[in-house]
Amino acid sequence: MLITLISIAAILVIGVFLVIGIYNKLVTLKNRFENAFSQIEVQLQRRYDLIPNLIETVKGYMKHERETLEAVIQARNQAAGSLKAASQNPGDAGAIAGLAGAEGLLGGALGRLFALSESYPDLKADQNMANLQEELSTTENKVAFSRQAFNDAVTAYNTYKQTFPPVLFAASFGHSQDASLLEFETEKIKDAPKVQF
Amino acid sequence: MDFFGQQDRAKTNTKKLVALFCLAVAAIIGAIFALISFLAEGRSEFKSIAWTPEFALQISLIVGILIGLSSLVRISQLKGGGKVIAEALGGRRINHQTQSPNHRRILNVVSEMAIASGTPVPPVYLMKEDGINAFAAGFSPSDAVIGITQGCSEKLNRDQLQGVVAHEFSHILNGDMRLNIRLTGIIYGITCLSEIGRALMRATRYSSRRSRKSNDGAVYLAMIGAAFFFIGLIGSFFGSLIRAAVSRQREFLADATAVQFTRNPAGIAGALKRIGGFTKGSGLKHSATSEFSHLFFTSALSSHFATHPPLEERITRLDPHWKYKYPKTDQIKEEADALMEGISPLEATASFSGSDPKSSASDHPPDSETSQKPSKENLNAALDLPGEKEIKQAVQLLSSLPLELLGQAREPHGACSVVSGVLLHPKDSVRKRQVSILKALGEAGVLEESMDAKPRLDPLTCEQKLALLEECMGSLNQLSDAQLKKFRKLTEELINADNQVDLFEWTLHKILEDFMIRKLSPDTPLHGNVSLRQRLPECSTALGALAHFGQENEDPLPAYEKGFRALNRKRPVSLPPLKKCGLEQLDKALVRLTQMTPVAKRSFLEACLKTIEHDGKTTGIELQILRGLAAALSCPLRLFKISDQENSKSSESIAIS
Repeated sequence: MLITLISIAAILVIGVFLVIGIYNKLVTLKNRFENAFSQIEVQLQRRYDLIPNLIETVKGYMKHERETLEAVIQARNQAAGSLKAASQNPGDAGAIAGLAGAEGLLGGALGRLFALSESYPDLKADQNMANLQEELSTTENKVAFSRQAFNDAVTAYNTYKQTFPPVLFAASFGHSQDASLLEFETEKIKDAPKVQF
Repeated sequence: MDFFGQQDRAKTNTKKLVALFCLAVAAIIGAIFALISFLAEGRSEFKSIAWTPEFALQISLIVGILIGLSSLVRISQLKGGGKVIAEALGGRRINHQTQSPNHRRILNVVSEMAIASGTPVPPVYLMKEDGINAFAAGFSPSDAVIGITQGCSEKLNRDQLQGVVAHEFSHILNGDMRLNIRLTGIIYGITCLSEIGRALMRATRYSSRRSRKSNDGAVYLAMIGAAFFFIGLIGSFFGSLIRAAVSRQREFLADATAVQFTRNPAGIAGALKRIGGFTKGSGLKHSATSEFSHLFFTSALSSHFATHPPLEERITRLDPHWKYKYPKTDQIKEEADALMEGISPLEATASFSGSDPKSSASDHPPDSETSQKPSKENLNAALDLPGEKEIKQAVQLLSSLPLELLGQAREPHGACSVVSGVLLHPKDSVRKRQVSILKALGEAGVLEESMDAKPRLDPLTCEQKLALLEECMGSLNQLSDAQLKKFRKLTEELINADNQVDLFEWTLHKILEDFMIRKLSPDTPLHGNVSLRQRLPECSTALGALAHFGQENEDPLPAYEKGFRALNRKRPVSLPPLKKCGLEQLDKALVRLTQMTPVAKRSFLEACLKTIEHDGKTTGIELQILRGLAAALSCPLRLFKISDQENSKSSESIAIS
């Protein structure tokens, strides 16, 4: 009888460790992607800080394009708001989708602005404008790079969550929702931002 | 007081700890055995097993396996590095692009201290807590992280912050972190016992309620559960006592070392006083705090098992004239000077300071030959803990770097560009190949940025480049594993683009590999247990390389012999010919050298220093070889030059005596 008791105890112990391990691993992976998000946040914030300077520079040359400029400002403000919401909870699919949508709008508005600026030779020659454009594009690269790191971290989290045995416990440990990848689709300007719940 | 000696001492301390731990476990087993036997005596059906040796054996088996397993599991979890602990405590990494002067100040202080002590710049995690506290965690200096509370950044001035960070760095360099992690694991194992006991009791209560008739097994299990629970509680009490005893002693040591680093007892004493005068003190609210309480700068929990000596005692040791008066910290609000901490407006202007940009087509950085004359005294100190002088030099070295490059190095994408930029070859044909490699393997923008950075990188001395690389390693930490693997491939291709590996590329590769191995396969053991004597031929290869390449047109033999005598006087190995000391041979030797113990590695590096300083001057080539060797051996090493003429003269006499 003692042998059965010992084996029951051993199984119990192993089970407890397994569950503790799963719990800790989930927390670690979640923290990791949340930390990876802060890297994106820094770069996006920098982009949003650059845009007012850009508008300031462009305003003098493009007096008749008020609509475009306002669209950029509006998209920028919306994106900045979404970023704030997403940084509060990077695991929330809705917040991430909101940010992706707002970023898409901003990308589209900026694209239109740059396309229009082609027809203003004075503006193109402006040193300040060239610097800002350069700065914006390097920031874009950095955003893409840190986005990759974030998406890798999210994928690692989601994959772990869906494997066996973590899949049995994930929901009860408060990891019911898959974190969502952050993808920017600058091409789809016309689509309104999709918010999923 | 040196890194390797302390690491060794930490090891013997760990042995003592393990002995204490075994004692505690034996006591626990004895207690459980006695308790259950005592209970069993009263029941006829169990009387037969009470006080029998077989039963004692069974109990000790169960308990031993339980505690051992849970401790091992916890330790292996914590081996994941300081990141895991910082994240468990709810820390958020501070980015280098932060625009908050207070946060920037923390990062700057940490950077300075890291460069001064020759370790990679550790990531800094900020905890949103009002109390003033900080911790260092990690398994080795290269995966260490520093955690700091919000209160720390707001309530302390720069000197005090430096004191706190120095204290944490001394934990890193003294090998306390390893000890700390083992402590955490062991305590966890003992505490786990009471958790399991509680689970057992709950399970049996449930089952006995279901089947009314008394169940032998259930009663037995419940008894074991109760015994586990209470004895686990007692065990964790004693565990905490062990922890407190070990930890307190290390705290005093860390305080003393911090003063040695900064030569400014007022800084750390001031920080402690401000904690004393703060209504929120150093308390932390996070739920995981108790498990890690011994990691912190001052007690994070107010309890009887204080892991830290009392504040008063620590302050009076630092400041004997203290009048037991605390400042009113609640009203203090420190604001860092944005300008001083280098937060630049959007258009950062590159400042070229120091060396004049000589255009040189050689593979080695220009002024590597003559301007670097570290005094002997200084080189000797390269392996020791940093002092005030080293921190000043680190500040100087960091401020001599162009701001723009430093900014790039402190951000992951930029760090990739800087490393690629350093690797760009001066020859056009090779450069063309490298550009296509960068196009194929590099991230978007890395090619342009590294081309941009190249003219700024060229005029740097090799020492400056190495410092810049340390900063880069800090940022590369933030890449995902997939990105790291890609980057590793990219750098390897860039290095091999000209089908040969020059010295700087070799050094850089060693530094990168050291970093990659720790990041990508953290379970790889860094040090072995082979003694120096068994690796003498390999040592002679490395010393031979230093002797051959370090002496311009002079006989390498005396330099080699000077180094080798420091290793072993009895069995001299003759100087290997130049052909046998190439980078390839060096690589082969290094594979075997890494298997040595930390102390053997120190003796080896010391012998290298002896060889280097034989002719009284240190060339860039020698510095690079040495840095590469140290990186391959996973040892921190500080590289500074002293251009001060007087200093090098006065050190002659020191070296002779």
